[in-house]
Amino acid sequence: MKITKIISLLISLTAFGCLDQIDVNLGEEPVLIIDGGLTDQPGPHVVNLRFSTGFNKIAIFEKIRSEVIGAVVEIVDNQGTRERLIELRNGKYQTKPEYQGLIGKTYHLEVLLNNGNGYTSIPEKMVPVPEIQSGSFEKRAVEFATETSIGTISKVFFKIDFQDDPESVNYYRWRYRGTYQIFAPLGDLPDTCVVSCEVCWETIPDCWATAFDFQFLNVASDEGFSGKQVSAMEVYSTNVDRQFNIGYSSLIEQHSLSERAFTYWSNLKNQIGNNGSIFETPNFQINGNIRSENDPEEFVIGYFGVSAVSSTRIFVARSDVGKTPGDIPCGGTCIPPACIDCEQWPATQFKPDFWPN
Amino acid sequence: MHIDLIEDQVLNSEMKESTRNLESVTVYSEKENVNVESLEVGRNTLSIETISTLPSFLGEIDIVKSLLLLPGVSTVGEGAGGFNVRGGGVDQNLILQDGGIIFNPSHVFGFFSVFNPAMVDNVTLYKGAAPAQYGGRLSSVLNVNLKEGNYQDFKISGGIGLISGNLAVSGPIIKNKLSFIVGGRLSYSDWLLQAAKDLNVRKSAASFNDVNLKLTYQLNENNKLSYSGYNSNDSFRFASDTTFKWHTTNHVLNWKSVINEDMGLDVNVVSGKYRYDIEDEKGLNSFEVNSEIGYQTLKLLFEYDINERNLFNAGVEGIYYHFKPGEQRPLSPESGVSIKNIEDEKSLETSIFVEDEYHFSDAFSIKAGLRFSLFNNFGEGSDFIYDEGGSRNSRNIIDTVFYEKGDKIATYNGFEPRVTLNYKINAASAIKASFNRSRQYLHLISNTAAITPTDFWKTSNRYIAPETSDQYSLGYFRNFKDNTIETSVEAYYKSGNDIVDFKNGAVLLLNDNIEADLISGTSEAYGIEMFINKKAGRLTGWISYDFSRTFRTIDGEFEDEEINFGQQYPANYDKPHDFTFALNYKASHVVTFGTNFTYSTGRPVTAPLSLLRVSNLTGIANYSLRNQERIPDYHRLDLSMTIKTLPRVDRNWRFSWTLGVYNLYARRNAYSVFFKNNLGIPPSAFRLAVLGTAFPTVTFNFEF
Repeated sequence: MKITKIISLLISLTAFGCLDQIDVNLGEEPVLIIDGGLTDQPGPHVVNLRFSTGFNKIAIFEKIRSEVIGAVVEIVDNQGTRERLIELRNGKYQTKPEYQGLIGKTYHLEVLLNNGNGYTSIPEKMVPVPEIQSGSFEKRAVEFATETSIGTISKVFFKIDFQDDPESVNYYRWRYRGTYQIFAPLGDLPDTCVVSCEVCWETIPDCWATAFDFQFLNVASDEGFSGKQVSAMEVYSTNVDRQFNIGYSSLIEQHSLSERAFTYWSNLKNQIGNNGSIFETPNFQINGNIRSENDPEEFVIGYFGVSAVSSTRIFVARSDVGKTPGDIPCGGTCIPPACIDCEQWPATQFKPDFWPN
Repeated sequence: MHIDLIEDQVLNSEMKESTRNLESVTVYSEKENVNVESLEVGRNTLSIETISTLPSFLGEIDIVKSLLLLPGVSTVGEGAGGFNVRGGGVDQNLILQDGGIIFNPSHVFGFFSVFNPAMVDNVTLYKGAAPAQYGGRLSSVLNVNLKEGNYQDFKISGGIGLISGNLAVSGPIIKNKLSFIVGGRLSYSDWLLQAAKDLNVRKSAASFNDVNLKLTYQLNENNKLSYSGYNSNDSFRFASDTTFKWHTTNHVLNWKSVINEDMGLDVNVVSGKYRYDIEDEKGLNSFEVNSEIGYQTLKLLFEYDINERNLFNAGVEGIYYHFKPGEQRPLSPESGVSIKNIEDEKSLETSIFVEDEYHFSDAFSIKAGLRFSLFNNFGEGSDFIYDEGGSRNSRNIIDTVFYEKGDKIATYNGFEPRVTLNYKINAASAIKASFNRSRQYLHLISNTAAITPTDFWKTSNRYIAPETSDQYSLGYFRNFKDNTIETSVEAYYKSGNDIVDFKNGAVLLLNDNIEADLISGTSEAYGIEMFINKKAGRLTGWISYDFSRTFRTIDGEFEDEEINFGQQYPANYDKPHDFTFALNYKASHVVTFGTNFTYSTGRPVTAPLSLLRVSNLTGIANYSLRNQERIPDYHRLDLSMTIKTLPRVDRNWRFSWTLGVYNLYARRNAYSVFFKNNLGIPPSAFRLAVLGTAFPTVTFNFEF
């Protein structure tokens, strides 16, 4: 329900009310986050060890805490087989590329930090996920409101069809990755390089860039469609912008979740964008499935989940969306390097295998 | 004239009119030392005269806001609906207007109250040890009595404020026999929204209106029949799409009969309705959601003053509830919104009560009451059956039972004893002790701290047991200077059982197995209240301080049925320190100054402690356990000045101007604290002050 609107109204009653930024001197104690997952697809599968950051700080400038370096991270299955993860930089650990989960098996994560503290995840069984039968898209204008006006914006909505399993209660999470072709307007000049602000950039006209599902969270239980054929269910939408200048390919992934994982992600989803006012569902501490071995009172954040994955690809040609913003502007004293070398977008000049000819 | 009163006699005498100027006359409707002598503890009475001289927000004389200045009464925030009494929830107050139940005491969320000051005669709040004739709520009884119409002359009174106007007309229909009073209020607050910078606010609209009608028929010397009707409407449209509406109707028929000098009978018949609607008329998502509660009450109260030392009363009360917790339907054929209907609830709450007040001696008296209530929830309807081996959640439903019309679904009953002792040390001081138990069969289903338009009421049923509460209190009352200064210290301890709370992440609206998102636990509250009240003289008013704590413990069998790992935690409205004063200074017959100040500890909140990155998400807040942090303390000073026409006998009209400033030193009191995660800047915490500035007001009142 749109109760959240009331609070945005109260906030926007700035003629009378007011909003001040304040210092919150809460929770100086950072909390360990163990976050990762395993799927039935080929690896590498990643586990991140991090600490939470304080307010008024940007996470990427936070110094990596030493505890997460040199940890022993292992995925253990129900037969006791262990997969030791390889440490990369900044608390990132990953499996061998050929390692993948098997449907029906149960997995858990074991982490031993270099300070001797151990953590284990509550085991999860990898349950099957229905195949995505087909994918489709639709261009539609949606209304949006800023502080001063109400307008419309064109978006492309991506949809899928699948058949929910009638035999079991199912939980889903959807993820996506967009790949789109870009063109550097000055990249097809005959010169091998073009100078922009005393640097000579190699001319590369055609590239493919990737848009990850950053800040995107879509989970659902089959309550409401249990055992049914689901048709044209919207997974995500994206603005009609330069991504659609030439062509856009969407990869939609459907993940199976355990009940516990679904509760975890849906709780997170509800809290994103919640202002904590008295008119809203109050926020609360979300418990994942990681527990401390040494101190049962220690609060650890994060989730190690296992999922089976099915996927589909949807291609959108420029002609399907109509007007797009066109090439990036290439004037000025310093020509933007992406106008010459499309890899500076950033992108790659190697055409993906799935790209249509 | 000399009369020997040896037997009852009637004496008629005509009086001559003459005018004399008196310095000041104080008329008490009660004995001057009633607070010492009476068997009432935790009771506060406010006259509309007192309330109307207090500074008010935007000039709207507000009964609920003035109650907040009393010790033991608090609110969760500015603009929040409802009030909290001695560590009780907003749904634990029985609010009666001439005997009709008021379920939502607020206009425009919580900014104004639903009582029309032009109609109100007096207001009594029982914070504990309520008379046995009242029941059904755990924390308090707020009894608002309306004026009766004038039996001789026509009177018109009214007021024009910044956001609303009110008018009341009163007079005889049959002289000395049948009188009427009708009063109404209408808001014109839209200009306020137009003044806002934000476009969404300017496209919004807020309005309210209410009408009271009271007819009183003096059948004969011993019998009086009255009708009191009430109708209140609120509408709030947000940014020209979603409209919230709420609505109250009450019809009260009352018959007061004096059987003989010592006996009286009071019969009340009430029918009322409270309803809200949320509408969104936009095409593809157009919908309407509504929730409605209806009730009918029959109450008989028999009073018998056996002798001067022994006062007795007894009665019965029956309330039939018919609740429609929620219905959703599309508003246009192209709307994709589905029809959803939550089952109706029908319940009957019947009670019998007896109470006796006995004065053993001049020094020692006792009031003992007993109430027995019986509650039945009956069909038709259905209930889900949950697997007992798991937590009560929708995934553990194993069966459904259906009930035929009239079938008993659940039944509860219990005794509610109430005892008050008064030991009078001398004419000016007394010690009082009390115990009372209450049972509550209705529950406001809400996961917010304040009453909001989307909260709905439910009766007890198979899964939701009645809430019960025991309160012990002890007080010392002492008057000074010929009873013109009252002081008191009262301490209380309260414990509650089966207090309904919600699970973390609960979705409550239109949830057809709501019992799976609710949990119950125990509550504990204690406090000490200090009160000094000067009743007469040029300077009148009170100063109060209270220290109180209120906690809940919810420790279920399963992980999702406990809050904060089953540990005790502060309730939403736990505000330990509360200091207020409300003072009035009569500078002359024409000019009166009023001021009030209030300070309270910030309410507990579940605050974000740190930020984290999981999966593809960044800037996710990690929250504390429930209610472990607090928003900043609240304090505010208001000032007002009232200029009245000099009363003269030959002048049959009066008017007054009230000028005031609300929040004089423009403190930005925090309403909530939250954090924003904007792209490009580090996430940071913000404080929202709803009324973050000083509000000047002007009101014009007239009477003729």
